[in-house]
Amino acid sequence: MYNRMPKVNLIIDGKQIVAEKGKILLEVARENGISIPSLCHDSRLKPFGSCRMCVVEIEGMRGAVQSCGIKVSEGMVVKTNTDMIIGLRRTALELLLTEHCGDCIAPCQVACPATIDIQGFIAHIANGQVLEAAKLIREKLPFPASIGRVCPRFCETACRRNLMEDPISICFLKRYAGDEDILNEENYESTVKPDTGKRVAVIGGGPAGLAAAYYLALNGHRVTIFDSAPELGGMMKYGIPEYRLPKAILNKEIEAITDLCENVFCNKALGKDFTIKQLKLMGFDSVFVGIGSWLDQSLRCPGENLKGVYSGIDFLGKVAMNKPVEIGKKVVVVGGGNTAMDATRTAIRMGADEVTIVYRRSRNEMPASSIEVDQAEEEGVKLQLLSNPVGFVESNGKVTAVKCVRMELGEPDSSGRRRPIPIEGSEFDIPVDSVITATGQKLDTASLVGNPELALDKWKNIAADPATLQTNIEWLFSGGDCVTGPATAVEASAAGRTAAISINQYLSGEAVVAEKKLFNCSRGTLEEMDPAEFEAREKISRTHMPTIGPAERKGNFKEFELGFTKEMAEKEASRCLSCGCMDCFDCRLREYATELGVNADHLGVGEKRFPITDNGPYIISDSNKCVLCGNCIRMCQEVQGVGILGFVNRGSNTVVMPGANSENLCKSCGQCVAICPTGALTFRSTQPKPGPFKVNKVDSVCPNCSIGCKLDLNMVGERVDSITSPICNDTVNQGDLCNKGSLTYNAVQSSNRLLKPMLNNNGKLEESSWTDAFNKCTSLLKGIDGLSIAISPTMTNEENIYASKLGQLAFGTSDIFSTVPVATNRFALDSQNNEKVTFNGMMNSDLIIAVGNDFSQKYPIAAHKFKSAAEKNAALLLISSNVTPLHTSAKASLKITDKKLISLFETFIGFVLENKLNDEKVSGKYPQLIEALAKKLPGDYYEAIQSFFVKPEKIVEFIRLYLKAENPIIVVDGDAVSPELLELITALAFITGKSGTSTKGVMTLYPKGNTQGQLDMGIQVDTRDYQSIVAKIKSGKIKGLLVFGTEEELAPELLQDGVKTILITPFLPKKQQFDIVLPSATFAETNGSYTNVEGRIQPLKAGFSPLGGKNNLQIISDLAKASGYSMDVPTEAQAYSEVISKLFNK
Amino acid sequence: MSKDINEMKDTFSTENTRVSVGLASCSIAAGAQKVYNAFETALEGIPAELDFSGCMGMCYNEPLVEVTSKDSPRFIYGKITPDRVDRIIKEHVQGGHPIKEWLVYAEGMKTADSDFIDKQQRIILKNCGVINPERIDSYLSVDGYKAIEKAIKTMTPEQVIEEIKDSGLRGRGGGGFPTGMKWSFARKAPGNVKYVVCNADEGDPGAFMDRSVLESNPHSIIEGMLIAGYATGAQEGFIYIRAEYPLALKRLNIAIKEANKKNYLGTNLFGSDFNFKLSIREGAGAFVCGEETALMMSVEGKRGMPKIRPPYPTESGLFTKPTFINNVETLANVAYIIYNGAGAFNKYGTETSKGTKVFALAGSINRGGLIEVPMGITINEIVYDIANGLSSGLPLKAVQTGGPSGGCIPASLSDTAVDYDSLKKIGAIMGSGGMLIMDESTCMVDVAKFFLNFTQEESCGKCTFCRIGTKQMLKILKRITNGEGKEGDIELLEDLAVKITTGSLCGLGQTAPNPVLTTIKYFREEYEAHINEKRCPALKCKALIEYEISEKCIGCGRCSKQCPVNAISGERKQQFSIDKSKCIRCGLCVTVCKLNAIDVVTGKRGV
Repeated sequence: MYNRMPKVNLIIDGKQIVAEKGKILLEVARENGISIPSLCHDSRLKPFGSCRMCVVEIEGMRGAVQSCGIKVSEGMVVKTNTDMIIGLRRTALELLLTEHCGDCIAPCQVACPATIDIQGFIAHIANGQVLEAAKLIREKLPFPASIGRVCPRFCETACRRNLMEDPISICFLKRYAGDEDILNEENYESTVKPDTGKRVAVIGGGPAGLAAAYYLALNGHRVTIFDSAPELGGMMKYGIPEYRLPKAILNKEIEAITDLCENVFCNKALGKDFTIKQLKLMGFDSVFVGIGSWLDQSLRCPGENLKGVYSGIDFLGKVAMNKPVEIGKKVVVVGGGNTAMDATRTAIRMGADEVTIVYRRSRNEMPASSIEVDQAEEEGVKLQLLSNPVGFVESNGKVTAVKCVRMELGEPDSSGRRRPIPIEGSEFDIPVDSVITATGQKLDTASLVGNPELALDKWKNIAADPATLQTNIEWLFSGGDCVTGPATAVEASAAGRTAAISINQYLSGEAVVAEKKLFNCSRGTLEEMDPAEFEAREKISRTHMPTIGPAERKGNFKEFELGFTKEMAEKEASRCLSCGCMDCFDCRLREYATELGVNADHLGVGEKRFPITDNGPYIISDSNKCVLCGNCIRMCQEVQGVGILGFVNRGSNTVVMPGANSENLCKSCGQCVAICPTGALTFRSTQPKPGPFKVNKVDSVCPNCSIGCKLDLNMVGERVDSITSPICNDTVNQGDLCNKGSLTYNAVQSSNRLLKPMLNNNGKLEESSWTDAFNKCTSLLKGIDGLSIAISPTMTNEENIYASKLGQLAFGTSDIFSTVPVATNRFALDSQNNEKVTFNGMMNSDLIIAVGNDFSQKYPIAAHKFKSAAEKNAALLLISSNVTPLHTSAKASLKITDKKLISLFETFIGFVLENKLNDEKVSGKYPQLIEALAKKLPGDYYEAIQSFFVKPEKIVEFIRLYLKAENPIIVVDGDAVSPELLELITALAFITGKSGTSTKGVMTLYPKGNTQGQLDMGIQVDTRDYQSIVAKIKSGKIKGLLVFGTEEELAPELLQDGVKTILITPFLPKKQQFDIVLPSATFAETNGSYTNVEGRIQPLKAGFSPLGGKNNLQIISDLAKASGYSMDVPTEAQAYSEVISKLFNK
Repeated sequence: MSKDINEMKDTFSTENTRVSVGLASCSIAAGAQKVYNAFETALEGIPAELDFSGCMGMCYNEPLVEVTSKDSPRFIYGKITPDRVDRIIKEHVQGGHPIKEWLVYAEGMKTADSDFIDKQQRIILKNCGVINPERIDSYLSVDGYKAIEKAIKTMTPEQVIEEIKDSGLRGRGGGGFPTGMKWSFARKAPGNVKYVVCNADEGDPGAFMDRSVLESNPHSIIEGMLIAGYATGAQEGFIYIRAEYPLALKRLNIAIKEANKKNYLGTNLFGSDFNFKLSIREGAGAFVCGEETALMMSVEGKRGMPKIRPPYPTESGLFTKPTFINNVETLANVAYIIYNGAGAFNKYGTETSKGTKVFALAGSINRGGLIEVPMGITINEIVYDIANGLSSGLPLKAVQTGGPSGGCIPASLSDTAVDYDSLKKIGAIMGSGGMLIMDESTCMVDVAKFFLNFTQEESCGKCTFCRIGTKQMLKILKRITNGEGKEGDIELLEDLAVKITTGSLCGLGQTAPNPVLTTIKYFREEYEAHINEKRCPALKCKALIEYEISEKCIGCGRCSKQCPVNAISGERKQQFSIDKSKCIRCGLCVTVCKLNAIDVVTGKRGV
């Protein structure tokens, strides 16, 4: 039985720990909640010691000791976090980063004030998943549609496409996602956390306040918004004209936020209607102030109060509120910023004939975005550059002209722009009907009346900690323009989110600290990049935003940028170069660098040295990111036994490379990718644009053989992005996985999937509706007398039970069989009460005999288990007709043709009986068995022994080794042997007393996931049963066949003419002779359970909803209905309890 | 006191005259094979025996020819070329008159070079350059294989180990681990199959101690391994030797073949039940394969990369069997100790460092070569007495021991005794025996860069600190010598050095920063001059020096003719000048100027 290891006591970081002697220190520490970083350790591999991250100090040992190599011993005193150790780890990381080249996140995201996952949302759009894109944006910015129209696009300036042609149209793609989101209201809902009962007042309903309100509400806080204006939106509503941002769009996005708020009060101005202090007294636990900068900067020249002189903000606000404004025909706008442009173009739209912008510097220095200046010029505005107003000419209290002076540019000032200097004597007048001044705004400090203790900064803005936005008053937070001075809506929104995070911390009683910034490795700015690198990439021109022409648009306020169509958006999104790393959500290098606060500027980061290998079907390799931990090499060699990868070159030129002929040897099991701690090896995404996406891991079980490997379906929305295996000692595969498991996603989302029912129309299958299909089923099922049901062993236990119920109860048949027949053992006797052989047991067995030719190909995980058992205690003996990869691990082997196997085991049994080596207890209990066996056997085993073309002494040695072993296991491929042989083998184990525990007996492997479950659920699985069904079909006793499975699984002899067939399958059938074909769900779309070869019942969870629209239990229930029998769709719990009771009643 | 050679008698007997040419790699490189061939032709018909031997140690005098006859002392001629052969034959071989002016050594006499040999104490090298390494009889004639015979016939394995323990022998590969202790661990290790491995992967730049022994006396290593096998219970041995030592390989192969033939290797040795099989494994010349775990990987046919310890090789080594590894020089001591007793060995040396040590002397010295000295000798004695001082005439600046893993000892500490502990105390190490002597014209930053460049290139690439840490240190050293050093660079170097020392997986990385650490320790001001003043005090770093022509110039134009980049111009008979933007600082002009009119200056650029 299991060896109980002696225990030792040790102390790690002052914590008393009891551990099994001989265990690796690093693992003991981790099991006890003490995390020791390591890039190269994996419990499945031999200690290697390359990364040097796991060093610790051990009392009595010199210097730093690697915890991944040392075993725990009695009295060990370990320290894992001394200054010396932390220093070593940090330096190790900094050194690794000097050779690590890549961008963790793309430069666009780095540049974005709101840190939107731009690469991610663009990838979603490219993949046609626009709502996923919107969801991702809204994690950081609640106004994708609005900001997507007005953002100054910091991101696009950083886009690497600038080195090729033009940047990705990120902003308009964001708008596209936002617009689509608005159109799909059901997707607009956000998941709100449970009510915390805390109240927060948000003063100011602009981008900062609304964003704060949104993220606070999502966290379950009760939010009340106060705004001085009649409607929410702030500058987005009153500062940005309708033609750029339609109010209807903005209102939709605001509504989504206010829907989550407790209360909204408009027309309530801070400082007039209430004070901050009052709010606190009213019971608000915290207050956010986001009141913006609404006070106009004065022009500082006389005449500003004349009739016909407006401030830009005032003017735009009035227009927005549809209030009357007289501007006449000749208008001068003073200023070069975005407000000036908005005022200018609004004036044009209000019918002004001659609009002139007066700006004191040259066009290059204009703060407005150049596109806007272009568009204003298209609409007919005149630019009076290098000019500055010095006064106004009046007539009857109304302005009639602006007095200007010409300017020239001098030395750069503190802003870096050249300082304008007036040219003496250059004064001139511009005749006007009205003047709009737009030369900047500031915070109206008057609104802060009553709160003298709130600190302001030297620019008279509210002083808040830039990282947390907490003010000097603990419960008061502030962000947006009122803290920074006039800036952009995207920055204000980002500030709102930051404040919400801080307020949430404050309300939860936590310390208010800045959101931890993840370490970011960057390849550098555009200037630092070598454009040559991009030469080979395809140039694709930027998609133009369709607009209304200047002539048409200048007469109205209609939005003139029309938005991308789906095709445009997807094409534009597909231009993305995907700069950011595919492993950024799952990179240990990044995780540790963040944790240890690594500073990459210290020693620098790596440069690109290697081309990226991107030509494999499943795996992408980027050696520039490799940290040479050696995990992939060792995984491939030590666990998979393939050994494709190796280190090439020496020293700092070392690189991991596949060896010759590797394409043929690599099975694409993906274990190298799964174990890679960085983005050096990544899976090729199943989607056109790879993301990266944060995946949702769904628990499942591999359907491809009876070992029952646990799988994680890595879901992105409704698609499987990859399949990996959870690394856990309690699972059968313990993190191991073969290519059949890792590549299953190919099948489940192939273009081959059947999406709609099909009906046979004169020998041709044609698509139909579910209703028509069931109607057809009804008529077909009613007319058939002899019906049989075939079920695939990839169906769950639950589906098997209900399908067989359907057969028994609705159709009255007991011919319910598996589509994949195998050898089963009816020679059971009392073994029912005995334990089954398990893989864990195998690790404690001392002998394994594997009977079969193909374990390494058909059951790779089992082959790995044999190998590890052989490395531990077991002698591995092979019986096969050929030489297999397992032979290198075998102690002995017999080369026996398949035909001779029965004779071989008869000989073994003969040897046992002849020499009376059978277990006496067994023979005493079952004398008739021994007798029967003896009768069946060849008279003289010695004669038989000569007939195998193998030296007789080798055969005798084999059986002797088996008899000598205390815990021998015989593993048989149940797909390749006959039931007779399996029963003989079982008999051998039984009569020698070598069966009945987890460490000794016979294990039969099957090529599908739930054959064992089918057996347990009472489905006819054995080839002998199958033959009798075939006979019934041939003789006409069975006239109809209901098949839950794939066309490939069905043997041709089942498809006889005259037998009506309903095929319920996930895949498009190739043959046309089926009468009805219904689309079923694969394992990846199914909740339920499989039973593996050890008898483990393991749950499967659906990763996505059935592509055909119905899950299999639903289809079974509908079929029952179609045949006139009522069978409800069971709940998961009901179905599972049926499985368990079936096991009890077996 | 030995007599001066001039007082020596002129004539000796010519009976049994034997001419022996030193034919080790170093000798052959100096032309010894041609000399041998010339003797072969010229001695035809003359009653004298022609033979060859290995390395005599006096590399600076190669090719060397030894002439002996009945009753004559050992005469060694140095710097012999084929055209000198006839005169040696005529006067000495046939006439019995040694040619005094060509003699570099005459046994018992004082010659110009006799200090070189007389100051040494030869145990390991005793028969090197004396016997013929390609004939087992030659080895047998100097009591070869008597030690293993004695061990097998008269001692138990435990007694052998005790004898080795008593001798105080410590590992000569550099680590200095007590050999007897290692053997007793190996003896106690469970299992029937054990291996003994001879580490002949000599890799330090400029070191050739092991090669010399293997080329000159291969049987002494075989005998040492036999004794080790007998003592520990190992019945199989491997010699791991780099393939770049073809002559050593050839002679080892011959020796193993002959030893097998004469049953000094094989089964039932000396009639006992002790069997020993010996084979050679050739390495591809990776420095790291001198590290024992990497060596074993290489022997197993895998990539030579160190493994983490534990498990230690004595528990699980080659093919997972207990294995112990000794260096060539260590094994070369074994037969001597067993045959002569521990006392004959440990009478040499100091309290904790017993016996002798072989060094390969190199650098700015008058006599470079292979020497064997008793432990405890001072650096001064080696530099001034044996090596006969510095060849440049400049003062001694530093001595590097232990090669790239070792440290630089400043001249101020040159009275330090050469033994394991004294060297360790001052930050250097004994190492395997490389000894580089540097004069005042050496830039210590440049030296540190040289050694680090070596270790950086030889890093196996497995562990982070060694692979990348050394590269980063080298990057910093390069920028310092390029005049781009930054404030804080010394501290950064020290920080990285300490971390690489603590954090590296194997000895290569753990010791790689030593040259940097010791040069910073003893020559910090030189680093500071490079960084802060952009000045190379030794005038070595090209980026920091300039050439200027002084008023001593008479305008002869020699320098201008020699300048490969035409950077020097001027009117004849007028002072010339150098265009500094063209000058590549090759120094040719300085060499050719007869008036010392060209000055090398530093510290003028970019400060």
